[in-house]
Amino acid sequence: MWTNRFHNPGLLFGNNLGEFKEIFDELTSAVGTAPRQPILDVWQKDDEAIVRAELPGLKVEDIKLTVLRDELTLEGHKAPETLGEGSKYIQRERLTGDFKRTIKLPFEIENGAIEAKFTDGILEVKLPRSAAEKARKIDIKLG
Amino acid sequence: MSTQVLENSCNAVTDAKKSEKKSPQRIVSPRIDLFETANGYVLLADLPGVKGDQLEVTVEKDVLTLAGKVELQDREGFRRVYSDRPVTNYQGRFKLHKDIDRESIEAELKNGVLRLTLKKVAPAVKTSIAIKTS
Repeated sequence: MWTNRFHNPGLLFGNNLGEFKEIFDELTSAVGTAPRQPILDVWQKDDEAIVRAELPGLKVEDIKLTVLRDELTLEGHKAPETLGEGSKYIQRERLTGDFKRTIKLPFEIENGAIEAKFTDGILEVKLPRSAAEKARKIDIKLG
Repeated sequence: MSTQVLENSCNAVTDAKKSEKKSPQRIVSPRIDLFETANGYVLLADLPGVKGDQLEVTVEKDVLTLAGKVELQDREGFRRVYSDRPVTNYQGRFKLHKDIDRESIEAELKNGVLRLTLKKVAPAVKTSIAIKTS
């Protein structure tokens, strides 16, 4: 059973709004601003789970994934953009800093068979259920 | 002119709300960074999941519009057990100030981030006009 236990122990993304100067006027055209990252989505079936995380602008080397039994921890760091000499911020909304989220799955994860790919700022992790756990499951027949 | 733009924007909001009721699609403004460089501006917009062929950047008169779509993968056999509601549609409209050269705007999409490079119009050079005297 899915326990829906999501820890969010250290979402430390800062939101440093810099000095605002009206070089651009942003015209409201959408229903809201994009939510704080990393946005997570989790899908599941009996023997596998998929985790999708939105991590725009991050590099693979800035992302760390760890698995411990039935928990996947996604953490990383997003450095602020380096500006060239003579450049200055007018508006800053993109999130920078450290983030960490732990996802608890309803089953133990098979360590050696995890697949993770990072495309267009989206991290997708496939987490198969541990074979040992599958073997431990005993079906009880009705007598 | 700007009144017209704002009116259009308001309609877009209404339409977005209507379509949100019908489907789980969300239209949001991307988070942006804007900075001024030595010869212009750089705008960075977070558009995670948007592929190059699903992004449109247009400039019409004073307004720069960006619209990006994310195609969510079909997860057959899976059920969604947790969701922060991923974004499927990004829309941003920006009014460009007069000192931005509309013709030389460059756009690059990498790792889910759009980088727009906008150059300032070259400042008018002061020229002296010789006055003929008879």
